[in-house]
Amino acid sequence: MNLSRLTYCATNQKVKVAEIDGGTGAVENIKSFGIAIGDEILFKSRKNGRGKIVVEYNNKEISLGHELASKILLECSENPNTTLNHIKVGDIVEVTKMGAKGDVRFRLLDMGLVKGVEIKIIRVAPLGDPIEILINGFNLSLRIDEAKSIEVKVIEIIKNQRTGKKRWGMF
Amino acid sequence: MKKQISVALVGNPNSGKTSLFNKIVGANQKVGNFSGVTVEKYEGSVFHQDYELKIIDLPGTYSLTTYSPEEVVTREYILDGHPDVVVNVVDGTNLERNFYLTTQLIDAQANLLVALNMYDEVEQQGTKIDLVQAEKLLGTHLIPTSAVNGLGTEDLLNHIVELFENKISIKRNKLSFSALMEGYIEKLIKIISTDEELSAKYHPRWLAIKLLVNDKDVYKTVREYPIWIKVNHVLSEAIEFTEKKYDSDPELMLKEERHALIRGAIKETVIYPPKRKKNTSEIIDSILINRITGLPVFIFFMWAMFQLTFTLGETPMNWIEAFFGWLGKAASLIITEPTTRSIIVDGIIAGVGGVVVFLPNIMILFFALSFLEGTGYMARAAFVIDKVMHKVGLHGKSFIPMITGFGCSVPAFMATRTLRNRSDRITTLLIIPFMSCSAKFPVYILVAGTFFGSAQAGNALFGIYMLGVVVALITARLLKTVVFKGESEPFVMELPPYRMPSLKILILQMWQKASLYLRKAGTIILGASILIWIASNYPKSDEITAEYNQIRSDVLISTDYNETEKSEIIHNLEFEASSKQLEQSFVGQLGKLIEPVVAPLGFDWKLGIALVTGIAAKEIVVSTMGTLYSLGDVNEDSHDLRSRLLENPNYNQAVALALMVFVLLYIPCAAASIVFHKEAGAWKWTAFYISYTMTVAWIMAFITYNVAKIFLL
Repeated sequence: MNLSRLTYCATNQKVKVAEIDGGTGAVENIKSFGIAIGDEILFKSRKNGRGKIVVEYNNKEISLGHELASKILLECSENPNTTLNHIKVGDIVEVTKMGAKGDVRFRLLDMGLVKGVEIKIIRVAPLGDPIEILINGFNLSLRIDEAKSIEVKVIEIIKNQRTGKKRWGMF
Repeated sequence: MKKQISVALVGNPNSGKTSLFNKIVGANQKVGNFSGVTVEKYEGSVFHQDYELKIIDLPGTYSLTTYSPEEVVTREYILDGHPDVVVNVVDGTNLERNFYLTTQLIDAQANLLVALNMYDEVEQQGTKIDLVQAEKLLGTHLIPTSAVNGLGTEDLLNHIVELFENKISIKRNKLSFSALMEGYIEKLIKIISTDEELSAKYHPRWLAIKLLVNDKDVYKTVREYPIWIKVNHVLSEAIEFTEKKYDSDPELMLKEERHALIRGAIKETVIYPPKRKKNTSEIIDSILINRITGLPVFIFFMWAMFQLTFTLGETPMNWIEAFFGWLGKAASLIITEPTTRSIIVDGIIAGVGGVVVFLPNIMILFFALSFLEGTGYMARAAFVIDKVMHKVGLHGKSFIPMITGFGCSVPAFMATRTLRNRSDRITTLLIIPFMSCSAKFPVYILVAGTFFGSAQAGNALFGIYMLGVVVALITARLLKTVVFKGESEPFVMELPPYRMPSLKILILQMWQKASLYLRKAGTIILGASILIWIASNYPKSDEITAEYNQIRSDVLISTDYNETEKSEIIHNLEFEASSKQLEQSFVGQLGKLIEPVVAPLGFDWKLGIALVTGIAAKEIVVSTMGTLYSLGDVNEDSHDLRSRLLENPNYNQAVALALMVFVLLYIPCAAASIVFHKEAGAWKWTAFYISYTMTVAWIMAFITYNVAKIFLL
């Protein structure tokens, strides 16, 4: 069974909560929405980019922040597909399709962003854009807009290393 | 006379190519420009065995494409410059990306050698590379080198000579793509080979591959030939088939295959150490560019660079000014003939001084820029600030030239060379003039200090700086949406590992920038300042001279005054005379001529003249006003000038604000404008720059004057 994050889901999909990837604060926070491990929720919609995510649970619509939603881990039968801009820092994905057009396409292809290549998300810039990725052993930065056009398959979810550590662990 | 071998160094940015170049040729190099573009050209030579190796260090590139001026230059030199030997410098610690260019050079049938650079790091990491097998796969020699300790440079030179003498011991190889793609390539080669002219000029296989990957330039070239119809037929067939069968296109398939081939070759020849531990770069990055510290660290570095450039630069600038001042005084003692004295002291010595005075700024700034670039922080700086710059359509890297503009436009214009994309470069060049440079400061101090109380003067100053930034951002936005529509540089940028650049290279690069400035701009700036000198001194009116000589002698023989009074009167008379002379010189005539143009801004002809002379240098606005009010040497703190300005009924707070706005926005000084022209590289941009800054200055000053009139008067 593979793990996925709620933020990687496609709309109108029923998913089962498997784990909360976060500290006690996040766990409490998610509990306060009435969501518990083992529950089935329906993924309704998402705001563009890194915006809010709406799920349906017990016939109620719940709107979750992107950061919080990414901490809800799900069970799924196959590796989820999404686009690069949705991927949480630390996770590893494989490129399935390069949808970029024009100049950007040329550059991305030359830098090795082709089908089948593995990418690790290193960080998001302090202002939220661009992002930094690790590809073929080197670090590359690209804008969220460019990342939107890259379709990926999640290979490995790296759970939050912060758990149990001091806050300095985030550095 | 020794025989020459021309050698081209080509490689990815950050592959250590330039360090290797410096290691090989040492100081025996010169920097110039590739004709027609502002891309720096580094050439050097070294004697080896019976040959003189003429080595050219081409700009770094990831791929043989034509998207930036640097890439065009590199590709054209390799294809059309016909170097005897092409040395591909490869970062041994990152073969997967570096071999991408290598395989393209193989396609282009370059007479190729591969320098496996940073080999010391490779060994340190514990990576094992099967050189013999790798050479067989690539069909070219691989020479382990290291620019840090000089490893392999001798070996590399031996191989260059060997390759030139055709003593190659390795069978050439070509990259074989999938059967489907090879089929199309074969078809295209057959068609291209029927055209003797085209196939003599470029290698058919290279053309075929480039056509399939949709290369704009190769398309344009081949379209000129009659075989185009047949070529086009094959291409459409390839596009149609790959689309139908694989939901792909030839470009995508070829690039995927190329990357796959490289991955395969590396798997076969390279053994990485079992576990790559967290490296130093990751640790540094986790401190310098994490979400919390990223922005403060960035702001600190920018502030530090700015402070270094302009505060540290101030002392040598004062020395230079003092030296030229002394030289001028010394010269005026030696030369007695007034016209010759004036042209040498006020024209030539002041002109040369005006050029040299920027040197400390330029050297310090470029030392700092080279350092940031060499360590790898520059890319991170762009990464941190890109979101802000992207809002106005610019690249994160445009930020550095922009803030440098607050100090001086000359180094700021030169700093745009770090931008690879042409439209980004032009846009950044065009917004730099609006970043208020330090030479405009004395004008603000004089005007704001005179017409606004000390409390309000600060607000007025702050408002002026903000207005400059706003106009700059609006200009960038306008240019990016109207002139350079859709030509935004994609932010696909490598964040290279941190490295310590060698001091020798930093100093070398600093000196190269300085000499480039002195040679290119210096000569013209000198000419321009002599021209301005002539315009503000000629024509000389003999009547005025005679009139004042008459008054002077009248005063001298008069008995109404004592000796001290006499010398004071004569002193004042001299200033009055120079004021009258300036008024009827070419500059003065121009100032009066433009009075109707500047009248709507509330300016009189005196301000008109001051603004015209300000084109030579902004500080001169203040000294011209001093001359026009017959006050001799004045500075921004001069109380005499302040009271004269306040006495003038034409001047008020509205005029003061309009004047500050105009000085902020109108054309920068002659030195900066000439550097702009050199960097923009086309008359049309210089013409646009002049008319745009002038128009914006006039409109904004007009609005300021009329709005201020309502609120302040």
